[in-house]
Amino acid sequence: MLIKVEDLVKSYGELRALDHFGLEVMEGEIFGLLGPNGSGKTTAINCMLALLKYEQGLIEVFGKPMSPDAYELKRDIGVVMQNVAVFQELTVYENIDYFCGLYVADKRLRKDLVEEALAFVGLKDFQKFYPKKLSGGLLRRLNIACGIAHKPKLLILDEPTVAVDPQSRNKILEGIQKLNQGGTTILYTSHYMEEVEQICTRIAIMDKGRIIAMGTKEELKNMISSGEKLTVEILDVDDSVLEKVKGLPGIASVEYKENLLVVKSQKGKNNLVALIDYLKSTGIAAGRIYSEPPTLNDVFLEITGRELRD
Amino acid sequence: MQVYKALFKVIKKNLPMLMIYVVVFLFFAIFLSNVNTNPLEEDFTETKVNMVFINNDGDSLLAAGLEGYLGQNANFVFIPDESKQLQDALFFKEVEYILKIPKGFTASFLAGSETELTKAAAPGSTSELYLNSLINKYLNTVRIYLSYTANLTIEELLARAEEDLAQKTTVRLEALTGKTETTKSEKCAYYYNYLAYSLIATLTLGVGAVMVVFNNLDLKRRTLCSPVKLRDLNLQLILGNLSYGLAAWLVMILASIIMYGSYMFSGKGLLFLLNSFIFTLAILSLSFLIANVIKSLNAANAVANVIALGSSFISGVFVPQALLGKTVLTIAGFTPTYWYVKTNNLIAELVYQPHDLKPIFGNMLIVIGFAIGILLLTVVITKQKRTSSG
Amino acid sequence: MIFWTFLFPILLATFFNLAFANLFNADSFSEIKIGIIDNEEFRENTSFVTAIQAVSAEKGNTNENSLFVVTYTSKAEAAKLLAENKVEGYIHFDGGPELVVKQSGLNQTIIKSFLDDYQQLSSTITAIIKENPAALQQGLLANVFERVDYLQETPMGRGQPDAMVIPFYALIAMACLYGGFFGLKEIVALQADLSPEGARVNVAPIHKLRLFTASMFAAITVLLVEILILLAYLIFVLKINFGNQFGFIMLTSIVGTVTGVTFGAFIAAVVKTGEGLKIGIIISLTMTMCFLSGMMYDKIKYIISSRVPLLGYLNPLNLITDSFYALYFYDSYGQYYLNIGLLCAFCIFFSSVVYLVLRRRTYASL
Repeated sequence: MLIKVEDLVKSYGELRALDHFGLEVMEGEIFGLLGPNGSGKTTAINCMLALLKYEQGLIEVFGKPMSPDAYELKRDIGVVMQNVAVFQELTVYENIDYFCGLYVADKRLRKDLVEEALAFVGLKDFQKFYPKKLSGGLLRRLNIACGIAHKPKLLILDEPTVAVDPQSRNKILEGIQKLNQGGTTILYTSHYMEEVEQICTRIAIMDKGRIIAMGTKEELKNMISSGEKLTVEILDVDDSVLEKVKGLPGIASVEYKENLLVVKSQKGKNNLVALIDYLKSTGIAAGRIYSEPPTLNDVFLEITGRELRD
Repeated sequence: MQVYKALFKVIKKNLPMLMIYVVVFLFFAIFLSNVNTNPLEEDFTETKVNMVFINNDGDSLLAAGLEGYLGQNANFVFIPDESKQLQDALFFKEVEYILKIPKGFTASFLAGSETELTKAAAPGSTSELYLNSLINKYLNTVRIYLSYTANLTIEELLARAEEDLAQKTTVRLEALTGKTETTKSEKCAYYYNYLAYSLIATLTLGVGAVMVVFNNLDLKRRTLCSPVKLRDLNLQLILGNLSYGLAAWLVMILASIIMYGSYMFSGKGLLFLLNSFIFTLAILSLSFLIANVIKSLNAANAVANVIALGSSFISGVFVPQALLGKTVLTIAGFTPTYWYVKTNNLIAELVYQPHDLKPIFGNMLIVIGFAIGILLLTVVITKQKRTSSG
Repeated sequence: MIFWTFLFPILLATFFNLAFANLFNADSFSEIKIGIIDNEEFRENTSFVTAIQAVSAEKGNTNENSLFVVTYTSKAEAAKLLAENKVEGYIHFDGGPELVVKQSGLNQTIIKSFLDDYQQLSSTITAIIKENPAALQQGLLANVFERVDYLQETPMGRGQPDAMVIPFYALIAMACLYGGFFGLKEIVALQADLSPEGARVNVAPIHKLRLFTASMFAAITVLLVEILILLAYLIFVLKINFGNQFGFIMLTSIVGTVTGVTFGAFIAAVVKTGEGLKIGIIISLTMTMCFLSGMMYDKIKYIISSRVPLLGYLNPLNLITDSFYALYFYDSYGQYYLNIGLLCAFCIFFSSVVYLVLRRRTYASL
């Protein structure tokens, strides 16, 4: 177990940012911490890194208690903060070298590490640039390079893809997976469920300072009652048809809006086949049909009654 | 030493801005300390004042006598008696004093009435007071002769008066040190007094620029995640700022060594160096304090200028301490600059006697006290900030 | 920005006021400590003993005539006192008085003047008594000490020449030139490679000159308000004499303001590096010009006007300072118009350069 957090409580004045928060990250995982903005992800990360004091709880990293003086533990942790933390006065290369140098004293070794990190995030051509001249995506990549250059065993990334273009984002996500394949355990926070779904092996969903669900994405989706969602393009539907559809077996809800019939099925297989059969039998002219499996958003929606994205 | 090195890269990036200050201020100091002959000494070194002497009283012996007498102490500049031209002359300080002898002055003076001459000058200037007293002295002496001697001609009378006025006290300058050394000491004191201004500005600005970067919350947190010990981190920062301060100090004293040569390594020169070194430490700790309260480079710039100019003005960098009011000096006593300038002045007039050194070292101790006191205050403030932001 | 153009000058003015307040104030005079070697020649010279006693303060008991605090002592002791800076100088009678000092300075000059006066007067008195032995009975001594002041101050211009006001005039000029920050900001906002606003402005179908003029006017208005408040502070709170030609003072403020704003725009347009350096240049250039205009040390102004007059005319800050001073001092307007004219020339020069730079610029990189 690389990270163990139990019963963590942290308040900012009246606001309880972490409310008996707890999680466990196993070696070799990409652990995703998913939650809307303001749910306490960054606060949790900052507590785990001993940057913030907390009122109660237990935090262990590599099986040892984490504290501001736990320098031996910090040596094996890599951090990529939500806000880009680089020196405007240093070039791309110098920045990576600076942060790497906080962990690795040997100059020769460091040179190789910095070069490797540069290549890894694809900033080789920009190494003499000052951060001011980098675009948002490149800047994020620099931020990541600064966190991974010293090859940590545990890498903590706090929303590393905020405000990043899709291309850079994919590169970043691929990179994280590559690091993980190389043996790095990863704790990844985000409010983008697609990202978390895409790369994380285990996911914790967070809301209002607590973990509300935890497991693999399949486990999470199995927790909820709703199954697949079918959207059918139909020009005109009268209410009687809607009633009929609602009456079909295995259908949870039906909605018709702007020429789209949205049907959510209950959990289980073949629920939607009945619907298609019915539509065929009535001879209603249907256009395109989409089918979607349930998402983490549905999980969040069902537990909290709110959408993940507001 | 990562932090230490990065600190110098930050300084390097800000160097053009800092260099502007250093170069401009060095220019100030070198220029001023060389141009400046102490205004207090005009009388003693008998610098001649430029003045205009306008005689509207024709062929008067009295006027000629006065002109001759003043000529020993002033340079006459000829400017036509015309308002605009006289105004220009005063405006551009071509002359500092204008004396007009009105028509009929001699006649009424000899008749015993108290006729007045007209003059114009910058009020309260030393040259004005000096010339006022010379003119009045001359006329009063003539007046006395006039009232008590009946059988003297005007020529004889003026000759007697001039003979009396030629009496001068012999002055012996009992300096254990040579004349050139004295002027060097004075110039050097000027140079080192101006140095206060430059030093405060460059140090507050430089340290401010660095600390604004390192105190940035994101960067600070990111650095705290690393295995570098907090104590090491702070040590490197302090060491970095100290090195920067010493470098700035070295650059500034270098110019004085170039200008004054071996004098700087004589006893007095070394005292000047020591004093400025101690002052550098005090200003460094002041800069550290400021750097920990400000939030941006612009704020650093603003504070640097206010503190540098403000404390320089009230502490006697630009206006000599001897001319400042007691209240101002009392206020100035709360700044290290005051004690630094005071010490420089003491060093300049120092004659080697063990008890002469006592106040000098006393003042240096006060400045060291400032350095330590401000540093402690900084520690308290940063501690408080850390716990409150927790 | 408000800081440089407003708070900073007010702070500085207050410091100036503190520093200069006591400069020529007689109250700050304190008695000078002198030593007199108590030998026979001194004691026999009764008239000197009387004269010196008349102007010395007893310990702890001063009167308004007292100049000196005297220590009567031996020669060796006097030398020691002097070496230890316990006295400013000592008087030694050895075939006439001799003054021994360690350095020259104001206090030493006062002692010397006293001795000179004493010798000159006694020489006069001796000569007169020789000529007219009855003079003593005719009140000679009283007459000698009753000095007549033959001088009358007549200002040559509107006001007295007064070096005291120059730092304050230079201060206003400084505030005007710090207004350059406003100009700088406007230019940065107009240039596509310097700011996102600039990039937007560049694609808008409005003529650059119109934009430039409009933004300059806005900046000038804001700065002018600040300068006027500053003026009010100097005139009404610190009681600095600006003369009373309201209209011309306003005109000077306006021209000064325009000069400052266009100066900043000029620096912003001409200097290609980052904003930090531009600000640094404005600050240091302004400071240098302040210094050359006599803000820190008023004699500099005269050194420049007598040795390198051209430098004085090329320094806009000095021109603003001189405009105020000319208004205060001259009763004619020649010098004033010359300064204002040169300032206007500066404004036109700055604006033209800025316009040329703005118009031509297409961007290699944003």
